[in-house]
Amino acid sequence: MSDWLAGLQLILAWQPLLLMVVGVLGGILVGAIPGLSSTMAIAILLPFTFAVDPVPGVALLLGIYTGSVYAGSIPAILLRIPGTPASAATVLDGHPMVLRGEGRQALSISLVASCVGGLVGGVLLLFFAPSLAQYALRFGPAEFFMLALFAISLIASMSEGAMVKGLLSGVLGLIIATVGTDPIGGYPRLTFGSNELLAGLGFVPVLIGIFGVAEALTRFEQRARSHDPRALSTTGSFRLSLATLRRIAPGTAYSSVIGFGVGALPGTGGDIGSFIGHNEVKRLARRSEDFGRGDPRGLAAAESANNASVPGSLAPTLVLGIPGNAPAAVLIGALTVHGLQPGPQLFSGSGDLIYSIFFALLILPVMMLVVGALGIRSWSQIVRVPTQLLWPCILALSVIGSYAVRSSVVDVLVMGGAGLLGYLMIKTGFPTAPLVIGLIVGPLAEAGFRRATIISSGSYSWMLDPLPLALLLLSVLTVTVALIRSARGRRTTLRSSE
Amino acid sequence: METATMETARTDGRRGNLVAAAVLVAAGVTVFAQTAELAELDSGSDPGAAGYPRLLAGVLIALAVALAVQRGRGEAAPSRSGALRVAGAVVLVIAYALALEPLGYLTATAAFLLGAMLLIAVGRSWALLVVPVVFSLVVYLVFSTVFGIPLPRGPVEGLLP
Repeated sequence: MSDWLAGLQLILAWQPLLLMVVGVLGGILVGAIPGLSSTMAIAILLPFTFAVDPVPGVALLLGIYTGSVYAGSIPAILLRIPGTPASAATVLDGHPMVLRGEGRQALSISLVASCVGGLVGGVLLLFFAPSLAQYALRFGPAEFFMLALFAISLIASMSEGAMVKGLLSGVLGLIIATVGTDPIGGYPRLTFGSNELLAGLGFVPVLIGIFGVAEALTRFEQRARSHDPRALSTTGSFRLSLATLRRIAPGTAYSSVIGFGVGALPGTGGDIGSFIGHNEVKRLARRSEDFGRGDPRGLAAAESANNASVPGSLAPTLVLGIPGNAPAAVLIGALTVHGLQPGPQLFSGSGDLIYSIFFALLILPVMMLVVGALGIRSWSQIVRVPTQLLWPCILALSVIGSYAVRSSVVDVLVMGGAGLLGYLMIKTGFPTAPLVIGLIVGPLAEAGFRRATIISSGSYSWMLDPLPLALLLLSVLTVTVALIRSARGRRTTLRSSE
Repeated sequence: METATMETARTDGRRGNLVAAAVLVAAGVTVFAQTAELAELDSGSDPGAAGYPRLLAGVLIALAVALAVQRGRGEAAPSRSGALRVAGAVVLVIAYALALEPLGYLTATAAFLLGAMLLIAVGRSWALLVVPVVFSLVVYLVFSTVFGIPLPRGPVEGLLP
């Protein structure tokens, strides 16, 4: 119990509190600018934390992480460009709300859901961290491969009516993820002789290309007939009615728990968590056909899940020393700079530090709510630029963002290629989200599949082990249910058109 | 009229599916061809550095064949001028990327923005002058001072702090 009190005392000092506010503000700016990811911002600001104690230093980085995961939703909603990968699912329902003239409602819902998600995740981390991390530790390569497969089948099933295209998109993402150095043998693979591709295709350039450049290209194509002014100026009220809050509450709570759980699995984070949260809430919702067309419940589900995944990703990071995702990996770096090695020893040896981080994660969502609400008008002003001026600037920012990640021109060309691919996918009715999911889970899936087979001396019998088999059946079930639903939907459409 | 448009979209969609399926099969075959050398190294119990992508490529080809026999659904093909503008934008992005290091960030960005704004038909002459200069300068200052991200320096950047 004394660790709790000591942790509380450490965090409730002026320096960590001030740095958390600075972090949240900086995080919101970073998240709102596409191409600047949470990981990048945390890495860049890492040196600043050398000057302060571990607790205020980590508090600053957690502030950036929290703020950017929330603010990634702002461009996702307003421009259909996720500010950070964690907001990819926010696009689905956030942007259609803007098109319908409910942009301000969308921004408010995202802020409130983010705060709730962060709080729920923080509480869960505080109480369940040790047992959760222990459970995830039991997962072997077979489980990881099946989890990746499950994620892809889930995301493909979301594109009902275009199931085959969704699966194709996901498999293409998995294949793109194999470009670069083979993770087990270290052989160069599918690099077409390029040294720059040895490290693989940069995830950030591909994401900017698929979600940003592709969208800009469709605007260039439709010069004359598009340009709905409502897409860029938000209308309506920021104030959320009690009825709206009541409508989004159950899904938000449920999705927060899912986001936390997915975030706690090593290798997964807000990106996958928010897609799964969105899909699960959609699955259980009444009138679920509104999901993906601007349903506030879908937006709240995505936003609460990705913010709950922030504390979730820290569970294995802190308790086991296994980063939940890339930002968490940078946080491990920040702790080791201070001579602290995350893992079970840290939990018992520096319990006060661990608990101060837990409490920081409970304070940050509240700070984010206040800062976000004070600035909510400014965020929506960012897009009050004539559309024709905006799209060239978006393309320029996409190029700079992709370049800045690794100071690499090849990354910009990769972004351009991904943009063209995304544009062609949009034009031929292929969903782009499964491709991105395939790309994220790709390395995990490959390592899982190959390691599991190596462990079983070349036999595929590991697929029949209880947990992998259960996950496999779940994946098959997800795809089958979506196929039956789409077939039933097509029959209804045919009948109504007769 | 309405029916004719829908019919066009459906035909375009079916053709789009066939083209997409062909491209995806080609991508799958490329994976097989590109991993041919690597496949010889695969051995023992590991499905292999080549075996795994080949398995995926096999699934990709099978799904692409399933797509080819499906009924089409997609958006109408872009107009000729629309397609030209998309191609123009892609060429501009590539040119921008390649000019970034030799010309320096500011010159390349201002030139790119001017070109892209002309392409998307910004009519206001003040905007054509002001936006490229102000946007590239503001982004430069934010990146270099606030975030400390080095952007490629050319002759113009030499005049700045």
